[in-house]
Amino acid sequence: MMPSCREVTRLLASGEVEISPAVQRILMRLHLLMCDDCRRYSRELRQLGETAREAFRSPLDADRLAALERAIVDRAQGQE
Amino acid sequence: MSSPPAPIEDPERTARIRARDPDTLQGVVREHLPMLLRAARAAGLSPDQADDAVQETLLTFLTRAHEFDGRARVRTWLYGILLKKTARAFESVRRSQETEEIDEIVEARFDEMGRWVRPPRGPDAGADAERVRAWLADCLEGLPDRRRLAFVLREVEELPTEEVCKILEVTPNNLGVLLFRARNGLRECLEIKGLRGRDDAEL
Repeated sequence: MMPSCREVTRLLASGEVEISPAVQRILMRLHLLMCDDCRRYSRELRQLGETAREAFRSPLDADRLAALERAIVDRAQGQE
Repeated sequence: MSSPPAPIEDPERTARIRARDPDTLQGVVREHLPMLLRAARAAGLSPDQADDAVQETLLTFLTRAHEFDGRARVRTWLYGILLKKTARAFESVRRSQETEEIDEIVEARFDEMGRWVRPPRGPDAGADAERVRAWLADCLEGLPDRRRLAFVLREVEELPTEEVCKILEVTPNNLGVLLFRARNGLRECLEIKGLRGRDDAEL
């Protein structure tokens, strides 16, 4: 049976779609083809992920990382 | 539903870690610093607290490297140490009560047949990326620590589901609930900010 819009959003947002049976995935794809609102929801979730990856993955300050790394290694040697 | 075993560490690397090979240990520290800092921030720590927690985590790793058994990836082990190190993260990330407000907000968007009555109207695909990023940072701030960390590990770090479950000590079903609430919470928050921005522009 074709999933409802509510069911489609649940499958997408929980990530359950990644582990659901092929039949269910196909039915969901069909629903998405026919339903503008669910397609929009799906796109918004995808963009959410992309924006979060860009925001979080901006490289950390190299000097700060190097200083932290040095501090950790120095402290470890101090303990030996 | 049975979950597949979490990925294990490369045996050769495990042997070098256990033998405390200095270059290998330093390599592990260097490789994992950025992602541990991101996770510490995602767990709700301030930048200074995150620095301290990550230092303590890697120090623990260095002193206990010979105990590493390679049955999990070294990064899984490190995330686990980090969560234990951060008292606040441990309390609020592992044990916090999940409120269900967001579930009701999502539910109210559908009729009894499960069709949209209030369809999604988040920022458009062409919206100013810089602005959306700033909004998202705000929205992430407002997310409960546990949900934020689940979202960051799965969506930003792109760790496999089974590994995130292991780190957070939750079942795949629990993780699905956390991600459902995190993604919908963020989406609703962005939608509100986007609509408000549009109103401001019309004034």
